[in-house]
Amino acid sequence: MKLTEAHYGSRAPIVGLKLWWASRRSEARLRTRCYGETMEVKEMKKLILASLTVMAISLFFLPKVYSFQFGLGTKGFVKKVVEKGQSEGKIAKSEEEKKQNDENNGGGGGGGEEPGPLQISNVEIVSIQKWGVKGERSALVTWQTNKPATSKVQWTDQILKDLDAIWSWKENQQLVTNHQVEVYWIRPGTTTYFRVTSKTASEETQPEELSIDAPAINPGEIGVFAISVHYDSVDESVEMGWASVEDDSGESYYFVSDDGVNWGGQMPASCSYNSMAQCYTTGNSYSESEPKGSRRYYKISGQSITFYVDFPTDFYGNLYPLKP
Amino acid sequence: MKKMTMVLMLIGLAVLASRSEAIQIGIGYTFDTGLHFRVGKFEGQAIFGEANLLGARLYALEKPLTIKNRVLNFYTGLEANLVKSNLLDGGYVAGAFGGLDKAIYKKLHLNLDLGIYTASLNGFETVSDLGVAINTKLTWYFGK
Repeated sequence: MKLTEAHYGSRAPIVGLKLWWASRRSEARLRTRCYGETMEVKEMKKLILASLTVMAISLFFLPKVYSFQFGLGTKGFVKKVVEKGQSEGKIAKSEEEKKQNDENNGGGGGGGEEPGPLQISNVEIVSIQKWGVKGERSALVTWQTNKPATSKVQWTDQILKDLDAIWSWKENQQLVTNHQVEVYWIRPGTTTYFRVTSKTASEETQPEELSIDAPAINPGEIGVFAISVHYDSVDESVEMGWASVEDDSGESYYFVSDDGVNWGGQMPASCSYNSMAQCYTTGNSYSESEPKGSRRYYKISGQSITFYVDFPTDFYGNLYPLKP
Repeated sequence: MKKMTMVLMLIGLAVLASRSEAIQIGIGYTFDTGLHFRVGKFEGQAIFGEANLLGARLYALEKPLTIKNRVLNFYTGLEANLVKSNLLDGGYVAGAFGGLDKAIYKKLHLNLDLGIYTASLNGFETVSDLGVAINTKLTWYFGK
């Protein structure tokens, strides 16, 4: 029987699609012969097939070549690319940073002079007592670079240096030309060494090394120093450590709290000794779970040193002693 | 800048709308926070936000598609935009898209399309990347 348009009526295109989805090719061919409009359906099939092929290539192959962004709207996509650039240090994170970079590259009276290789200058260290906490000896390290770059300070004291211990460090990923980093609780009565470095996406400076002599503690002062809070962002766990000039490993404790009012049980700590059997670092030997977004209060050596840390953080990134 | 762009777009659209009945002309809202105006196969658009986009779309191919008695308009085309931001020294984003257009109320159409885009943004250094974006637009067509 020869099919005519009457067999399909106004629903002909739908029938055509249904044939396609069901892969009933023989009927489709028959229909093509009797009803001219099916050419449009065929074109549509090709069009949809081409679109799906392009999408498949995008989703399965391109992500392996590039990092692949997804955005709600073209603006959303651009935003993702900007965020990627910011995380790689290729795009300014703030207007101030952009302005500073523009001034650096275009200013200076040179009218577009090349800033040259990344260089550090004017490194200074001054003693500060940031929060007025008794027994705290802190240092402010400042320097400048000829291009916007990150800020990193590493430090160690004479005793740890002699023991070849790992240097402590603190880093700020924001790209600036005027750098400043605060280092809290340096060891009293000895020399502390600092190394400063900066880097851009493509360059890194050689470390500049300076030192500062911290005065010895007075009788009655607290001998705690080098407080550190190591945070594991993956496991969401935190480990606390500090050093003490007194050998009090048998009675070393710190106290913890979630609100700074109700203090939890004493967390015992143990001491690490050098070859002279002197305690040079006190710390706890186990981790505590601290979910991201939480705040933890710490109290060391009785009531003398109290501070809190917001997670996720690295102690070296952020430490906020409670104001007296 | 934003106001100026919007005023210019409206004036241009009014002139075109008054001169031609044969050509498809429309104005609409691009989600989120953008305006566009359509003349035939071309569409100018301005999208506002932390990064402002100013660009055009070419609807290269449009085909009516009937699914379960509902008429949709399948379309594919190309898009290119300049990117302006206080954090950037400029840049562009361009891509190809395909999607569906549905008349939701007389002359008011809703567009939903998926596209593959590439962006090249000039910051301290040039950042380039590829990606997928879903665009949604509401367009009011004049005349027809």
